[in-house]
Amino acid sequence: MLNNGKNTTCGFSDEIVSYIYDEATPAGRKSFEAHLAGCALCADEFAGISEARLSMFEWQREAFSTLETPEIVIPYVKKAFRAEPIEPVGVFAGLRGWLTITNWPVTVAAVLVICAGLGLLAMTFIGRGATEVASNNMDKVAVAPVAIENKTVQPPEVAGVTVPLDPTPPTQNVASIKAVDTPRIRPNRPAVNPVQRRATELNAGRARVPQSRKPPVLNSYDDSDDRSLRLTDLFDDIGG
Amino acid sequence: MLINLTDEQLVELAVSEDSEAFGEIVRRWERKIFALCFGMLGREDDARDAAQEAFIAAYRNLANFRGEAKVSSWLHRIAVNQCLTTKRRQKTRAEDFLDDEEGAADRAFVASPLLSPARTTEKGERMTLVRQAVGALPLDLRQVIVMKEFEEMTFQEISETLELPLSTVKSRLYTALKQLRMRLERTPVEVV
Repeated sequence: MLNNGKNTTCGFSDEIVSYIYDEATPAGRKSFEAHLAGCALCADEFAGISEARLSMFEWQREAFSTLETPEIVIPYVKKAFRAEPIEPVGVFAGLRGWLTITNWPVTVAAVLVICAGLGLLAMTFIGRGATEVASNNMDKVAVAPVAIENKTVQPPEVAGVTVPLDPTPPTQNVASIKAVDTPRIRPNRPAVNPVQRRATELNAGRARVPQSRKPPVLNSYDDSDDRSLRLTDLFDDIGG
Repeated sequence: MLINLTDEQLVELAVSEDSEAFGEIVRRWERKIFALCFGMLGREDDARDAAQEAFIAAYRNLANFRGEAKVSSWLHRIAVNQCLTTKRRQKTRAEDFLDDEEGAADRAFVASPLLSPARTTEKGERMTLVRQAVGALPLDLRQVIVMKEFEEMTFQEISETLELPLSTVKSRLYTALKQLRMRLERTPVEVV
């Protein structure tokens, strides 16, 4: 019971709360208990404060003590990457930086790329050089004097039987070209010009023209006995 | 080992972006801060949100912690401010919507299966009254009584956290209990 709300603790308010919450010193507890035994107002006050404290205690026990602690989630900010500046010291300072432990994979990769690039360049140059050598050699072959030998072709022998050759003796000598002793190198043929290719295709088509179609005769000269090489013969060959 | 470090040492590490150090601070104080928020706000959901926001605010303001005050004082100050912000937000919401006091009481009180329904109802109503009475206390008195009852701190710890003399803490607690008693006696619970 309150005494109209006035302070009726005889100055023992601190001792009341210390006693209620069991934080009083042994000497203070003894003193307060002795005072309570003799002061009704303080005893009444003590009872009221204890009841209020009990309500708080019950509320905490019933409503809070059974609750689980919430999981606190903190949105941690990741540490920003800060590149340490390499202070240039000397001529090879930059190179030293590349050779650090953290940068060596990058260094190795860069070296490999550079070596691969140089290798490709070298192969290209070598290839071109070889081509030039080959083309030069082919020119030499064409220019070199050709040693033509007159040879009488002997009829081949097959199973002991001599196969007669065409009775018409060849009017031209079979020539064997004695080339300069150079290695056979396939010349680097230039790319076929599309116009040339088309001409070739056309010629090939012309070569397929049936044999019965004779080329037009431009003059009265009968050249049926003429056995010299003609352009039309070449076309025929290509078509055949 | 982080467990062996003081709160102040952990904050120093946390300032240098050591998330593990701040995690240890959270582990040490999450229950107490949650208890403080529950005592100040009276509702579990509000207390969880307020505690979460308080720790996030603490993490964001790590750089502002100068080390002049204790980490407990700093965390409590942040938590109390967060509770006040939550209460202001609730006040604004209550103007537009009806405050569900009965629902809050149900959430705040878990009935024991041994009690009769009548007793359960009486207890639930009592809890609601206590919650409202604590909520009506002035901030400085409310904080002390909540720290004593919910965080179970000693007078000395409260004194160090709030940076108040020991006698001031006891005096405030006495006054809080006295006011609480007055409110509870004013509105008695009807026994069915």
